[in-house]
Amino acid sequence: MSENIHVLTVDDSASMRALLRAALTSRGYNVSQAEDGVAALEWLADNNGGIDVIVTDINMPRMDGFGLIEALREQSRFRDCPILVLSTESSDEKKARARSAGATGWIVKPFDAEKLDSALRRVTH
Amino acid sequence: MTNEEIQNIFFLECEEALAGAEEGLMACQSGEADSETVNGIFRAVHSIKGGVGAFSFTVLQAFTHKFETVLSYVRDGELGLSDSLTTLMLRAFDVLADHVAAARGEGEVPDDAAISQQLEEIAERAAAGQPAFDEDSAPAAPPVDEAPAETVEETVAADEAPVEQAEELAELASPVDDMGLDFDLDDLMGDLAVSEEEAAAFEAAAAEVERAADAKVVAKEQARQEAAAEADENRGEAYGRNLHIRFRDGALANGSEPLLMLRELEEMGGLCIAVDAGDVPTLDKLDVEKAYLAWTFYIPPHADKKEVEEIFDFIGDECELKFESLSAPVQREGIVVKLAEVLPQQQPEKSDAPQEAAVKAADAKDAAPAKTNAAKPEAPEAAGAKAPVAPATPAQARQVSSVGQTVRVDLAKLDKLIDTVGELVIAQAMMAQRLASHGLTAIDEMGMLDLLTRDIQESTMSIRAQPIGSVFSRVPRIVRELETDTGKRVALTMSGEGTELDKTVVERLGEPLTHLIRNAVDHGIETPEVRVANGKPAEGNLHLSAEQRSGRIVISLSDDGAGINREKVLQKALDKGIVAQGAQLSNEEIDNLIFAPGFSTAETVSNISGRGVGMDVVRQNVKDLGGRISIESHPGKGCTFTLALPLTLAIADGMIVTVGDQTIVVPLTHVLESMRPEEADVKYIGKDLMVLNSRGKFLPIVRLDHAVGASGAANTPAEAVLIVVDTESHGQAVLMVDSIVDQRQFVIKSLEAHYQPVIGVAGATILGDGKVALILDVDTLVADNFANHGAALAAA
Repeated sequence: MSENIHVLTVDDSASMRALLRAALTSRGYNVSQAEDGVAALEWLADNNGGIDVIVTDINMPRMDGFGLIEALREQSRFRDCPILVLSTESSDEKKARARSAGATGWIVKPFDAEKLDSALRRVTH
Repeated sequence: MTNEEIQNIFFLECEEALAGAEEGLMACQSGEADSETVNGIFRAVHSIKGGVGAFSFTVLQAFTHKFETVLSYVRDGELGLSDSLTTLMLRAFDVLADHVAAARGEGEVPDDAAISQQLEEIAERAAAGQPAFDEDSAPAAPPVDEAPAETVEETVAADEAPVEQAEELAELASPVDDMGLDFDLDDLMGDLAVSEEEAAAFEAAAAEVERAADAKVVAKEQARQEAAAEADENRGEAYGRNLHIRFRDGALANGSEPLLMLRELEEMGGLCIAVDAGDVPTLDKLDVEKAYLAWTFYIPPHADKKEVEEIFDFIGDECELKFESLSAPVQREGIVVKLAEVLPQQQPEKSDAPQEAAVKAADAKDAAPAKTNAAKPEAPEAAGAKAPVAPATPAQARQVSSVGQTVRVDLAKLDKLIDTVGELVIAQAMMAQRLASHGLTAIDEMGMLDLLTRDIQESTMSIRAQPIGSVFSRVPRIVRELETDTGKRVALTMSGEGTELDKTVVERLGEPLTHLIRNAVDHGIETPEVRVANGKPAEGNLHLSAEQRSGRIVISLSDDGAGINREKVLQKALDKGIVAQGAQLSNEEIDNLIFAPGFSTAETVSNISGRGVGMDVVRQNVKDLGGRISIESHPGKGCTFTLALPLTLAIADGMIVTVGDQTIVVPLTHVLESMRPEEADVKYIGKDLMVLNSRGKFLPIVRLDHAVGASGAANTPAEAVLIVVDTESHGQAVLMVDSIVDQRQFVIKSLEAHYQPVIGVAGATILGDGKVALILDVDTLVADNFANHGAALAAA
């Protein structure tokens, strides 16, 4: 079922992007990538929002994950787009912040590809 | 992309992160730090931590975690950034850099026990609201030169149990978390009692959904359910649990999809045994954004409670969960019956219905971007109410593309491109020449092509260009370590980090530069006592700069140390037989003796710069890069080393000369001067050998026509042009050629790759007229000439 799912991963770490790309493409996802919140917003604007799910890091330069989620939730077309946070952080405080910003889910890095897959399946429709 | 390739990207990233962190820490040290600086350091360490976890460098991960913890306290303002703390963080940084190198297989795993302990203790103190060090509580910062290690030992009791750290590490070890799941559910669970009105609404919704449902999917799903139930039965002995789930209104926000969580639960073997639809309102009151249902799932004994909780983890407070251990075996029949009641409403999720609906509603969808939730029949009420009109997520033309400001390209590909562009430039020049021979010199198209070709060439060259900052960034650490090792104090300043030059040059510059810096601190800058005695400030100054100057990159390293002790250098050179007794040498020549092979001036060979390899290696390294190194020393005041490097290795400046019937390129890096000699300046030794009297110095003349076997060349220096060149092994020499035709940039083509190595020839290039010209390897050519006529010339 993941053949058609288009994921945008947002992470400032090139190796993390490469890992995500490898893990997700091998499971049949379409993968696009951005390196921070600003780049993600630009990509989404350029591509007319054509995305099924967004996976974002929290700690990033320019615009962090919280900022990205808030910015996306302000746009009507992304109000319901599932957004997963993928972060090394795992404090309740950060999670609560992510949730109030509008995140759909939280995955702790280092991620398990299977779990990421099932989380993506869980939030995509 | 292989794992190894990804790992390599990670290491590149580590380098960048380390450089960034170091820069930030240096700023902290010099008191220029602001909150963004600390944030930057934190982010750098954090990103390393993120990666090491993914690549299972556990030791490194543990250390980065401790470092990050301390940094997070600093970032959050809970720890003041005192000098002692900065020094400690710098040391932690050095250990981190070593850890990364070790992970990369480039060195030993560092012993981080002491520094780890200190970081832990500081984190602990911060957690307790104390400053990192006791003296930090005083408003005045402690003196810089206080030994930080001692400070820590004194102020922190070593036997304090680092409970917090232990917890944090435990958390690190198992990234599973269990937030927000323990709450009281006592009054939340209803039974299946439904009012008639509600039942009607429920029915309507269920019917709608059922129509839409794909029978196959349902069948498959049921088969799976039954198989799961069977699997449970096989387990037998333990009784499993019941899980009561109730989503709150917020559960549908943020794109969450409760149905899919339930489905995941089913995949783990969970069975839906009851639905509480008691809260479902009448259709007119139904709000698609609200949750009305509660479920009871049977969770078989083999399903891990933690994993179950994980499914609902992030939804947190928006979902109430209650586990209830079963005290008696579950009656399978009972479950199946209830399942039959409940399942159909749960199934249409992957049916075609939403898509059909989407098609029907296609016209409407642009006008009113409907909530996608509504189209997902995750709960009967939502599906029933809105499914027919609400479109699914619009099917967008999906294009896989990557966003990014940088692209990593295989170097070989880039070199191929640059090579091809080189060919293009040549082809363009050839065409221009051909057109010119047909009288078409000033055509517009040619001008345009010329311009474009040059643009392309410059752009491709700039791709390979890298800021020299990546080399400079390593310098502070080297200086820091040297300070510790020598007990000297050095203030390092740098400028021109943004200067760009060829990647290969940047990469190969590290070694000679490191050596020069070690040399400057070890030999140049005096100990604080000596400096004070000489009326200088105790702290020595070291300035490293880079700039682009007339097509070359000039890097200079100045210190305000003792300068070169010429007397000592000369004596040593005499002792080692590097210069002949009684030779008259200028100051400049004496200074340059330190570049002679095997020369070492330090009286005690230290393990810092005296490693057997000396400045001669530095000079050779620089020369290999097509550059040159020079010294300017002022005894007692300091010394400046200047490196002049080409912007790129692929293209070099050359002097095109003719010798008889041949055209030859002499690399400009070797050329000192060219002249038409006065007859009196040339002396003959025997029949063939000649020397040039150049301002009182006799330089051997190498007849290039003989060396390359050209015929018809000028026979006497009077008819020829002499080019004074500088060589590695034999100092200055003179090349005799017929004429100098041009001076221009040329693309170097390896001769070895196409033919075989030839002594005296560095490679070949293609000239504008399409002819191939050999590029001289001045060093080996002159050396070879000396070998043949050595005795006679040496006598000169």
